[in-house]
Amino acid sequence: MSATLRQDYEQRRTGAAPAALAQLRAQGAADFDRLGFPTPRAERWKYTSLAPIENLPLTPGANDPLPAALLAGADRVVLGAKIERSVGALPGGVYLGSIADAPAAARALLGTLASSETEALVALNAALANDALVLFVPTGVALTRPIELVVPARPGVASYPRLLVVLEANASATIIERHEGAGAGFVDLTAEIALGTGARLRHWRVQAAGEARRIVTSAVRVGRDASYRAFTLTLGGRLVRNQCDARIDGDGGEVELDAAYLIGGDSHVDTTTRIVHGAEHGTSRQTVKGVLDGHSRGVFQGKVLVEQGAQKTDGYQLSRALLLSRDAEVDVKPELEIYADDVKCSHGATTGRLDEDALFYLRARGIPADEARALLVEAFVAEAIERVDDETVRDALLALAAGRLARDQRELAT
Amino acid sequence: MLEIENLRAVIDGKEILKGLTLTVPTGEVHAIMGPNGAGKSTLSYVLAGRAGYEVTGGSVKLDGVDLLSLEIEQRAAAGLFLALQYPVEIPGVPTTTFLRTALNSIRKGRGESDLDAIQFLRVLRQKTKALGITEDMLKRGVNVGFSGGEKKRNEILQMAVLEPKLAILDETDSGLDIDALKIVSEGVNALRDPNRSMLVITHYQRLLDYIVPDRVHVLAQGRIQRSGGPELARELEAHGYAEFGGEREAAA
Repeated sequence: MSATLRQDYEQRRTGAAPAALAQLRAQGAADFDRLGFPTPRAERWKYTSLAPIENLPLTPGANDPLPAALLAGADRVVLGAKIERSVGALPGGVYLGSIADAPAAARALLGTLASSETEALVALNAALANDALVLFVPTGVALTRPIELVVPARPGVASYPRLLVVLEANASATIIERHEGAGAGFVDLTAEIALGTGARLRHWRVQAAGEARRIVTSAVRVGRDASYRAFTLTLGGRLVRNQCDARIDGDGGEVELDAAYLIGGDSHVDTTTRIVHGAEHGTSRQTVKGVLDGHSRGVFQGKVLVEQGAQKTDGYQLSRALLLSRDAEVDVKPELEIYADDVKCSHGATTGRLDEDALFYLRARGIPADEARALLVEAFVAEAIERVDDETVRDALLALAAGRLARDQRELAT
Repeated sequence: MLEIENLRAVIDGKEILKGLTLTVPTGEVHAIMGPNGAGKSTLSYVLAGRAGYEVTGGSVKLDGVDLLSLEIEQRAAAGLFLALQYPVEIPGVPTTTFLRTALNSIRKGRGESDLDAIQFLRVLRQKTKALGITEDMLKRGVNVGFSGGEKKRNEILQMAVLEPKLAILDETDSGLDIDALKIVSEGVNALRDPNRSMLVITHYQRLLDYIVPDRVHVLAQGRIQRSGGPELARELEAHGYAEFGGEREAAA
């Protein structure tokens, strides 16, 4: 016997939760009851059907069992029903842990950045979140070691991890999010991120291949001269949506939202972003690269909105897709909405196939066809991965992308 | 030794090579000259195995190996090298990566072990200097941002690294000024070897002042019409290809 997501929701919404989450959960449930699952009639969900989530068979009563083995000594946190952490000593004043014991300044922000009023998946997350992981870095503190967050998807289980990151003035941190698990489970992650004046956050995310359904909704607020840079590498997944709504609130703020995905089979990967420039001299950058094989489908919806007062905004957006099979498909919708008159904004979008001339050239130099294809595809995604401004992470991401391609070649060969 | 016998090839339903026969002995440099549309580039692409060219008859052998039955990369491993008239730009693939991958693929075909990055760089350094290829060019994507001359020099560098048995130079002189032509020709001459054959395809005699061939063949209307020594090139310069049914244009 299995339950639908809706049945699972009805059963879990009444469950016990920490007092710090009571209000968030009540509001989330009220909002989700009103909103329900979005349909393709909703503009932001036009190209992505949630059927693979609504129809996912869940094990009744299952909570989120956590992986037993945590890397000893690593700054590693597993986000599940409960938060498990294994973190070395953190600098004074830094908090990493449950919302229950988080500093008041962070607690007050929970639920204020991501809108459960309008975003059904945020509401669902709020309604069922069992805890929220808080990373709080006080004024002037730099976290030098990255915080690694593991977000597991478990077959037959729906999980609702919640993340709140608060960096005060001139604080800095790096988060590496690893979305693991190949089985047919559902993860509905909501992340709220607030960056104070001059704060700097690097946010790198890797999503494993497989049958998982992952909906990630990030809401980011960037203060004066603050910098938020994110990169997401998606290696598969039955249905993946990475949505990020970022708002530049202070002058000179910077947002960079890059992504690359390499998918095949019947994978569906949706990148939906909205960058709002609400202050002067803001910069936003975005490079999204997709490689699609099999019957896979990619979606890119990227909106850049420049508000009336946001003069001297500099915005650039590029979306490129490479289709390796005739059955793969991509929908691209870049949007610029500008209400200020002294701005520099542009975007570009291309969809194409492998360059046959380049393929011939490589083969004519003795490189076997499959290796030549992999070289060209690697080069294609590298343009996005190279936006990552951390050499160690960048090399790891390039290796993951190359490994994914090598695996595809082996699968084709067998 | 390259042996082409009665080769026929069709592109888009039109026969371009109409029974071409040609032999290039090991260690010799032969030139193929001819008017536009004679089938010069078709011949080079057919030999390299490019898609879209259908071979309808004849045979091609390199040291006894039947090239036409091989895939593109297998022909390269068998010792064939085609320097392209229009080298392709490949953004994101650094020239060094490209060269090392190519060399190791070919070494594998010869039953030799891979060169590691350091061994490879040693091989590469020896070859880049004479051709005036800089570190910066090697780091960039293959041919990306290269001038016409740099692209052709890069072709010769590839030939020097891969050490083929047979090198085909397809209109390597096109788009080169006289200085670039000299550098490229010197690069080619340095690769003349008793164990290597070369087939230099050109419309103009000028290139053959620098790369002096052992034999010159005139290709027109899909066949070799006439063969001779280097003096044939000069004759063509004076009289053009008119007598072979080409356009009335001097090959100067």
